Order: sequence, then C-alpha cells, then structure tokens
Amino acid sequence: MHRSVATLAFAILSSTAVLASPKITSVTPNHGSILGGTTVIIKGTGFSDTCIICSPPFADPQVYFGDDQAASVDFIDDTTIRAVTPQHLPGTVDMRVLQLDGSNPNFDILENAFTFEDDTYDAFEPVLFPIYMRPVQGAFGSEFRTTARVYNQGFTQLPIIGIDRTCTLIDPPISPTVPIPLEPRGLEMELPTGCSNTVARLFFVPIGRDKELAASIRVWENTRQAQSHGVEIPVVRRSDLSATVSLLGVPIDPRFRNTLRIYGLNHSTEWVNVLIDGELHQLPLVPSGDLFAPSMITFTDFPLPHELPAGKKTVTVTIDALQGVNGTQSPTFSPIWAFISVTNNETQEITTITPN
Amino acid sequence: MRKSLLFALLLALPLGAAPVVQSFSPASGPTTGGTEVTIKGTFDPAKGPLVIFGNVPAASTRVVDATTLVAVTPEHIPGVAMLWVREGNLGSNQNHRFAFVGDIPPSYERILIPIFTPPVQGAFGSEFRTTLRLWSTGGGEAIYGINPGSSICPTLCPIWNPIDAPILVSGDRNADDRMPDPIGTPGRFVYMRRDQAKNVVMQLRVADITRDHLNFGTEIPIVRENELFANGETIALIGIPLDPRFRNTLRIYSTEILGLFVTIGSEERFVMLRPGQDLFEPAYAEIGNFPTGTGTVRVTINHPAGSPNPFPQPPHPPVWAFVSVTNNDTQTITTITPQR
Repeated sequence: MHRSVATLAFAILSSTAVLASPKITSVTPNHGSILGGTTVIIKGTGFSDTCIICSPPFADPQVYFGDDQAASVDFIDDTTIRAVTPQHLPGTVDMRVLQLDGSNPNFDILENAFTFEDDTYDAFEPVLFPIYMRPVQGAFGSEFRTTARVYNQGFTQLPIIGIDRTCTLIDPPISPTVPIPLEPRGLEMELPTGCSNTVARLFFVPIGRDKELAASIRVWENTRQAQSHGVEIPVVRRSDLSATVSLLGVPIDPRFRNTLRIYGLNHSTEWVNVLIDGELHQLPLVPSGDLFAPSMITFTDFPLPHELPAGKKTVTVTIDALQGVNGTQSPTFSPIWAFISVTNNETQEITTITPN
Repeated sequence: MRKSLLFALLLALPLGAAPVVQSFSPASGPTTGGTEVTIKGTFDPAKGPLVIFGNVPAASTRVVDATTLVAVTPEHIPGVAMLWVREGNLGSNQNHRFAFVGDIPPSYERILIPIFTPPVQGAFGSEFRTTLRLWSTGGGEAIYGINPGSSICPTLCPIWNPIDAPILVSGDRNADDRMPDPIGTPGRFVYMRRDQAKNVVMQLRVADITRDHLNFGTEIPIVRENELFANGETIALIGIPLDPRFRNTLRIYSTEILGLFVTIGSEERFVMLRPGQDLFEPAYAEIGNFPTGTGTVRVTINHPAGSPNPFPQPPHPPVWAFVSVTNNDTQTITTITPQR
C-alpha cells in the first residue's frame, strides 16, 4: 500500500515538473515600418503553444511590441516564433512574449527589441485639439475648464492613440501610445483633460479614417455659474491646415482681450509672419518634442485702440507660413492653423475667431 | 469738297459710341458652357468687342464683322444672365437675357452661410444681428447670392438680380471688410468660382446687440462644399446640454427637399426639410423641442439608408446641421457644430 502511494506521488510530481519559462534571445529583423506588416522571427528557448486554460489546450503565445499586440503570431517550435508587427507610432520598443502554459514566470521581455520607422503621418492621421488643458486659473479670479468628447460615427471599431490617463487611478498606468478602441456608434468618451500638461493635444487615428471620429471641445469659465454652455473650439484635421490663415473682424476694444494661437506639425523650427493692420511680427514655431503636442506659439501683442485710425475698431490678422526670417521665402514650409480667442474682461465670456 | 465729305463722315460716326445688341440666338444653353451664340447689332471691331454673360466673359468672342459677333458661353451658375457687349469702357444696352440651364457646373463651389438673416427680435428684449465679413487675399473675386447692400444701391437701382450682380470682394488690407445686408431664410447658399473661392476669407457672427457690452457675439461657421455631408454620411453633434437653463435649436440644411432620421438621445424622428425657392435658398428644417434634464445628449442625423448596407445607395443630397444653445436668461448663444 505504501509503495502504491509513493508510486502515485512520484507520478504526480513527475507530471507537474517545473516548465521552462520563455526566454527571448533575438528578433530578426529588428526594425520595420510604422505601417506594420513586418514579419519577424523571434528566437529563444522555452516557447510553448500549450494553454492550460484553453479548450482544446493550445494557443499561440502572445507577442507584444511595446503595449501593442502583434497583428498575428505563429508558434513554430520551442525555439522559434513568427510574428507580424502591428501599426505603431515611430520609436524603439520592448518586445514581450507571454504564454499560458503554466510556466512561472510565463513571460519574457527583450528591451529595445524593435524599432518602428518612418514619419508618423505616413500611417496615422493627426487630429488636433487646439485647447486641451487641465483647469486653468485666469484673470480676475476666473477658472477655465475644457471638456473634450469623442464618438465613433463609423461602422467598425476605431482605435485612437494619444489618450493620456497616467494621472488617473488606473493601475498599471496606460501609456498614451496604447490605442484605445472606440466602439462603432457606441457611447461617447469624455477624454481626461485633467492629465494634460500642454495647451493643445494631438491624437492619432489610422490614416484615412479620421472622418469616422466625431469630436467636441468646449471651454467654459467655471466661476460665473456657466452663463453659457461654454464656447466650442474647432477640432482640426490635417486638411484644415494651410499656408496662410486670415482672421477677420478682430476687435480692438478695451473690453476684450485677444489671444492668437498658432499651431503646426513641423519637425523643426519654422518661422511664421503675423501681419496685423500693416504691422509685421515674425515668430518662431518651435516643435514641442512631444509626439502628442503640436508646435505652437501664443501671441497677445495686439495694437491698442488709440493706435488705430479714427473710427477703426477691428483689424484683420494674417498668419503666413510661407515666409522665412526677414521675409525670405522658406524653401519648404509646414502648413499651419490658427485662431483667436476673444475674452470679455468683465464676464470672462469667450468667443472665437477661426479660419473660414 | 474733301473737307466737307470728311466732316460729314465724322458727323455720321459719333466718337465713343457704345455697342448695341439687337438680337442673339440661341437664347439658352447648358451651365457647362460651350454654346455658340450669334449676336447681331452694331459693334466696332477695332475696339475688340467682348461678350459678357452677367459678370462672366464669354469663353471666346469672335468678330465676324461690324454687325455680327459669335461668342462661346462660359460655365455659369443656372439662371437668366444679362447678355451684353463691352468695348473698352463702354457697354451695350442691358435688356437681353441668356438662360443657363442645368446643375451648378463643376468650376463653381456652393458655400453655405447658415445664419444670414435681417435683425431678429428675440426673447427678453434681445435683438440678434448677423454680421458677415468678406475679404480676399487677391481682390475682385465674385460671390453670387449676396446683395451688394442698400448702402451701395439705394432704392433707385434696378431690382437686384443675383445671377447678374455678384458682390466683388475687396483685397485691400487697409479697407474695412465688406459687410453686406443679410437676406437669408435663415441660411443662404452663395456661389463662387473655385479658383477664386480659395482666396476669399469670410467670417460670420451673430450677436445680441442689446448686450454687446457683455460679449463679442458668436461665431457661426461658413460651410464650404467639402464640409457638407454627402453620400449618406451621418452627422453627429455631441455634448448638447439638457439643462433647462438653455434652449437648443437644431438647424438642418440641404440642397434639395428630403426626409432625414434625426435621433435626439434615444428618440428618433423623421424630419422633412421644407424646399428652397431657388438655388440660393437651402432646403431647411428646424427642431426646437429637445428633452430637458441633466447631462448632455447626442444628436445624429441620418439619411434613410444611412445604415451599413451591402447594396449600392443612390446619391444623397449634401446636408449640414448645427445646434445653437441659448441661455434663456442672458441670451448668450453658443454653437455645437459637426467636428469631423
């Protein structure tokens, strides 16, 4: 009897012997297009297509490029996995292999394993939210709040990249590089502007699909009991950018303060000409260095009422991306977008003057 | 003798005589142009007569002789345009009309001005005024459908024909922007040649002038043709307040009378747009009875066949819509427009 129990125990122990954890040793090739579709061969040890929670008990390992799952995975053998890269923003990412074979640990990470190359805008459509700020204290005791909402009005799931939730209580924090799926014609999503550290924000959707994304930005002043429903700020698509922006009827009135904001998608510093009632200002549009923030400059040096000809109460503002410094023609330029917010100094009501 | 003859000849040919159009044929042609029109009258070949349809020169003018011109019609918006001849600074009589028949030709863009009404008395003593500013980076671009304004053409002027008399936009950086008199119902379609439209900047504002010390009015977008929703696309307007402090008005515009499904929150309604009277007046519908409560609601506007469907769909007229949100107390207006 005792020998039978010992035999059974030995059999059980043998069948539950410690499984080898996956170990990644190389990824070939180690670079590819941001468009995805690159087939890579992952070499290592301990790979397995056993899945102890599946029925039947088999499943390919899960492969991640950064936080994004591979487009497809094929288990070849315990030393080889073939995977296809997903679309991904440019940059170098870690690779993670995770399997459900009961090994412990059941994953491995190879740091800086793969580099996604090419210009972001070759695979992703930028969508600019010109105002995307956490609550801001303004003049005269005011507090300005921004509400941003998105909605998928298409018929298939739409991934949106750039939602920063690192200030929320989600653990572990979700990087803005992780695509968040918007279900087709489902609920609207209110974006976490409270996590913003910039004035504006760039989001990305797959190229050619930006029209499926309906969006709304509103800014309102919080301390005066919301006399209006706030002011709508346009959501800007790449096709809305242009070489020249003209804004008409800008009031020069001591009751109001004007703020001109100019945006671009340039990768290096470019100059813009701002012409206000014949007076030229040349301003540098400097890249932010943050993939999710456009280059941007703010201008408030508008003329005073007494500086205008008698009877003139408004000015036309023209912003021109074509000119380089000292009026020289820039050989290349990035298109721009701009708008003016007009704020009543007494009521803090905001209105906008946008390109039409 | 010779001097007398010369003097007689000079008397017979008045210096600076204007051209005269007596007849022409045919009287109509397609909006796509290309029709050869033979014009009979009195002309001076030495002055290079030019045939003009309304404000648009003929694609070509050929002088046959001092009594006959042959002109090829240009592309033109549909309607009846004045046919006249210009020689230098002189123009012919202006009582001949050529009819352009057909759709808006491809070289013209249709632009929607959503609110373009004369002053409107609102609630609580308010008066809402619409201001349209026009400016050009070039100068002289023609916009069809905007009245030059009573200040330009007082009551003694002939009745304004929008086909003949476009407004010309100033390109003078130092000039005040052109502000024509609004005549919409409440919206207005205007038309421009595409190669000119890209040079023109417009700005539209609505303000309660009884409270203009409080705000600078509300900007209403000017809607270019590529911003209209065509081919059965859904319009989604999100974040519309249900707060009873505000009243919402949904305005829907199209080029043709049609029916649409409008969903406000979970309630779906079928809405018929009333037809426009001419190519300048949009088909239009207005909805004001929104639910009240807390939070916000979404409005979607769909063509009847707007759902995913494997079968080919007929072409749908282009549509645009927006919601104005007015504070019942302060009359402050804000807008919710399509952002896509």
